[in-house]
Amino acid sequence: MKLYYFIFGYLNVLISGEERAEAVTALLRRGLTGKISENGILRVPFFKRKRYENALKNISHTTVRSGGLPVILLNNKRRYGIISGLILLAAIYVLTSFFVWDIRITGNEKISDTIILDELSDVGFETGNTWRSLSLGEVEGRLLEVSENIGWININRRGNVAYVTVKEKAIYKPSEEKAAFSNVVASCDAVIEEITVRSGVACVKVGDTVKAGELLISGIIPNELGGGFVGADGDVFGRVAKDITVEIERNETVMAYGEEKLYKASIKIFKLPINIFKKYGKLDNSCAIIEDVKECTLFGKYRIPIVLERLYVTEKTEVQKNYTDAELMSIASLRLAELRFIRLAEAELMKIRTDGEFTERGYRMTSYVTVLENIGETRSFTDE
Amino acid sequence: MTQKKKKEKTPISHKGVLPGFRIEADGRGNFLSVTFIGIASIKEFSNTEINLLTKRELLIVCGKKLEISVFENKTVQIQGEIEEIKFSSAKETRRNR
Repeated sequence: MKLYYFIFGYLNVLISGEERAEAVTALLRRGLTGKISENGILRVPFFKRKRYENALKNISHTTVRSGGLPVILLNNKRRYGIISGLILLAAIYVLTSFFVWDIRITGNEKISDTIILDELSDVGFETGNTWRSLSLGEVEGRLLEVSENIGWININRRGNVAYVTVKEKAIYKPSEEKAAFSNVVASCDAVIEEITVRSGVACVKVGDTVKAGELLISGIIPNELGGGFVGADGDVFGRVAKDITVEIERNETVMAYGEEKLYKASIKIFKLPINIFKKYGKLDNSCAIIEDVKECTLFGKYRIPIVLERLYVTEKTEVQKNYTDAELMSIASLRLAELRFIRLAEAELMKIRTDGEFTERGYRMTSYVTVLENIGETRSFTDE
Repeated sequence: MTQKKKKEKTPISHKGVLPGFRIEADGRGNFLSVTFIGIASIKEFSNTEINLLTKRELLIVCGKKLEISVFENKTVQIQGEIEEIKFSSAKETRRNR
């Protein structure tokens, strides 16, 4: 009851001793509720004070005290700033408590937060959603049905933040189906560095030089070892020499971009966009559009549901580029490095030598590499 | 011409209230809380004595530190160190006076 009186306000009315009985009778007859304490104080709800005044008009009484939120607001009614600020604050708090402010994810090791957030968004759960429109149990169920990455999920709400705990699916790769009877042959020319046989009979040893297609592990078991046919299996690592080449032409058509100009800026609070700036006009194919999205955070750690989106426009034109010698060498070097990274992703680099030469058309750069890689390739008997 | 019926404000109806009274005691040691239903008016009210009138009876509640709460439907609750509750007919009381 104390909270009720604080929120809705009250007046403490003192009734003199002789008239207390009359006061109680007056309240009784009018259907009003109230309590008169031993010292004659009647507590009257603030919003009903007029009714009580009417009931007690023939009885002498004095207001000794008033309190509660409405009374405070009434006493400070000229302080418009404070009142409107308080009301605005209360309204903002109440409204924002309807929405999901942030989603925090724990339990993921290999899968990034971004992927999990995208999957949650696909099943209709993201910052800016209203809590009322969500059933957390349903979201969990739907995500488990459609996700290829998550094996278990639990979503808890604390305040306006959703705490999501996940367990990733253990990825099981069944061994590739092998032909019942097969051999392992060399995929390229190499010098054998290491050989591990899991099934079959080794036909080469460390140090041997093999050609592409040569038998490395046989699926035919000799009679002295029991005889029969198997699917040969094993790892054969060989030292392989490779060339990786790039050629850059001196005259090339490239895309040139002009200065970036701001085309549109908006702030999204929860999901509500507020446009700050927009330049009107048509965008055509001669323009490139760059989108810059920044999420706001508190102390660089906690996301808040305010996103700044900016759209930039830049003119693009095709330009005939005539490279100088230095530019040719620089571009060739960069492209060659990219190509090496891709081609040698699963190999161990042992030796590298890079050469370049100017040609009629431009510049050619070649890397001569020696790598250690698995050269074994399964080939079934029927393929041969 | 159709006549418009005016809605008359009817006073608060007490028809639903049972005649007579009921006592419900909620005792916590020395402190009692007694509820009376069907009270028409209060004749006297002080810290030591409260006189309640129903249609036919007069109830006298004696004690110390008495407080009174009024509820809807002619319900009154008295709290305090209640020592005595006396009943007498309202007619007799009027005759004695």
